[in-house]
Amino acid sequence: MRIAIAEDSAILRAGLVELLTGRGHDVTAAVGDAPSLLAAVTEQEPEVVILDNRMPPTHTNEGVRAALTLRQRHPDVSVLVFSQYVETRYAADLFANHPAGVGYLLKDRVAEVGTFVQALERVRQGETVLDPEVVAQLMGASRQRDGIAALTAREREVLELMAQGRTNAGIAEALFLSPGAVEKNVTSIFAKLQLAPAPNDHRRVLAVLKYLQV
Amino acid sequence: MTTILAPGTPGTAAPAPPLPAYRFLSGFFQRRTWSAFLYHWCSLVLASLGLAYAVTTVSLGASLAVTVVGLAVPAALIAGARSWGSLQRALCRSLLGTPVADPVPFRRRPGFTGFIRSGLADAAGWRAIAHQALSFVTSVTGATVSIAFFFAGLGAMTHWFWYQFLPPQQASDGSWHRGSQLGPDVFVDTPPLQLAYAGLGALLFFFLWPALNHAFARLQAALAAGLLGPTAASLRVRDLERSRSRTVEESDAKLRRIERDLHDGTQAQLVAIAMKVGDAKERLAGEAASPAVMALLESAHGTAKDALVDLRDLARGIHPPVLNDGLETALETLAANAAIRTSLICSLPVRPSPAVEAIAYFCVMELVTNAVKHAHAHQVRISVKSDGGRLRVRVGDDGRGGAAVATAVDGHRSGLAGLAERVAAVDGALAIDSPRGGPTTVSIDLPLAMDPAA
Repeated sequence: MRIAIAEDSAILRAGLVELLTGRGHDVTAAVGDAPSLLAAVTEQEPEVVILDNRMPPTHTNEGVRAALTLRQRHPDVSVLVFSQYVETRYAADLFANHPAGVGYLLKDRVAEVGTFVQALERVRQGETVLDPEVVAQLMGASRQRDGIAALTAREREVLELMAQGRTNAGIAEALFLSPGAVEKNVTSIFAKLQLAPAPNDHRRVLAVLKYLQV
Repeated sequence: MTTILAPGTPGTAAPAPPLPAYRFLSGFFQRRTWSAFLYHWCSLVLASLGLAYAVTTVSLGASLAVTVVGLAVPAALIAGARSWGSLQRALCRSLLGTPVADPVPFRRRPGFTGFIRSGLADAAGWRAIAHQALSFVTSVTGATVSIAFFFAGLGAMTHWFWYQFLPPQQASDGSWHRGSQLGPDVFVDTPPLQLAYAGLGALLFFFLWPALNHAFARLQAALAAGLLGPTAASLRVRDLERSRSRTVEESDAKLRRIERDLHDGTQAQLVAIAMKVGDAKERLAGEAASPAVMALLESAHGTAKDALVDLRDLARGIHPPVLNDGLETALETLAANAAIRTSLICSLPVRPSPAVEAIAYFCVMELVTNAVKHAHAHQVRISVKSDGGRLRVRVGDDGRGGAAVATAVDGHRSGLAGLAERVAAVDGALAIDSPRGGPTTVSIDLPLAMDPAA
């Protein structure tokens, strides 16, 4: 695999490079912040990008934000975000639009080297990789509400258009909403419909299925 | 640590250029004499208004004190008397050249009764009312004396001119005179007397009037400085509050730094160790390694992973980094991770200061834990909103109630007591409504910003 790494801790970055090259992978870039990563990806497109969520300058969610940018600019590059903690909001943001080829793992998981490399491989093939904690949290967040009844009128409209096979851009156009607003609605629908995204499942499809059953 | 020391002490009025000292001989020609004269006129006009305000406040307060709602009127009047103080301080500064520092700003406690309490207990307002009453006497006296001497001197000095317009008066000997009558048959109409009279007038006008005018101005300035400025105690309270705010903020910043250092240093190193041990383990698994070595690696790997989990919980307890991204984001994860159904309503158009966010976060965390552990609740509702410079947090559960800020009977503090202390450190308030049998609602009221007075 051709892999690019963005991790601000030098020791961990070196460790990852060593680990991956030791297993015959090609590390195209190993950098310490999001802008350098985006530049490196544009230069030599890797297959997978490993991103630490917490990097300079704000040390909050640089990884998730860079991942979203990457998905827009380079839809073919798969992204695996590493995080010290799993935050519901970050996970929801990350999986709102294109869960395929995206992964979100706790940093500790690199300790299980075999599983970690497998996860990279799965993300590269377009699967969705979720840390068990992410699943638990999204389930926890969605447990608070009860299905379709909890949807607002706007969210139902969005879901209806999703069922007609429209993309987010199409929905935005039909409802005169900004793409961001549609995204928010879609995220909210997923949460309300208790769609914990199991690997390989496309939540859009699941959401629509749930809607059609009502 | 970044402590910026601004030049000068904050909160004191900018020093006005000092007026030249009053001189007896040339006082008449000094600018300060004339501006003080203007001051006396102004204070004469204002005196009756001030007295009317003071009398109204005290009499209304006495008659309305029978109802709580009625107390709002005197509370507002007392707090409002501060504007009298501002006006008088402005006059003192501009006309007397005596700057009087502003008192510590009015601090309104939350709620209606809070407003009444803070209004009735507003020392600066009461002192302004005392100034209204006292300065009525000093203003009327000062202005009357000054104006009287001014015109008396002016009149006597120019008598030689205007005496010709006086009506003629007859003395006891039948002779007719024009001019002021100083005593029986003593009229100022002879040149020596005219001269003496003009001399006396000049003395009054050029020396005595400025001196008296100045003396009363000094008295007025002293009264204003004594009653309309800050008291030493209030300044000390403000300084203590500021230094306490700084302490809270600094300790919050320190905790953040510790968490960052743990994340950047120890945590990253531990992950690297766990990763390398895991790598070694997998590489050896393919070969015929001795079971003893494999067991050692296995145990090292397990310990490293446990340490990572422990360290993560520890760091999160020190300062959850997600708080840097806002209270709402942090609380979302908290709600999702709770062991029971937890709903969160959060509406914060303005971000609170970081230290306040941290206090609110840890309070909610503790309260949700309490709801699960002690109240055996099935459901928790968290609501967070801002309201006029205050952050209002409410955590309600449907548990069995009976929560209280326990007094230390057995020398053991309850978690709620710790929360109340944390909240009080930023002048917040924590109210518990938890009857036996439930439900429990804990309301926390915090300032959005740490030091609004600074």
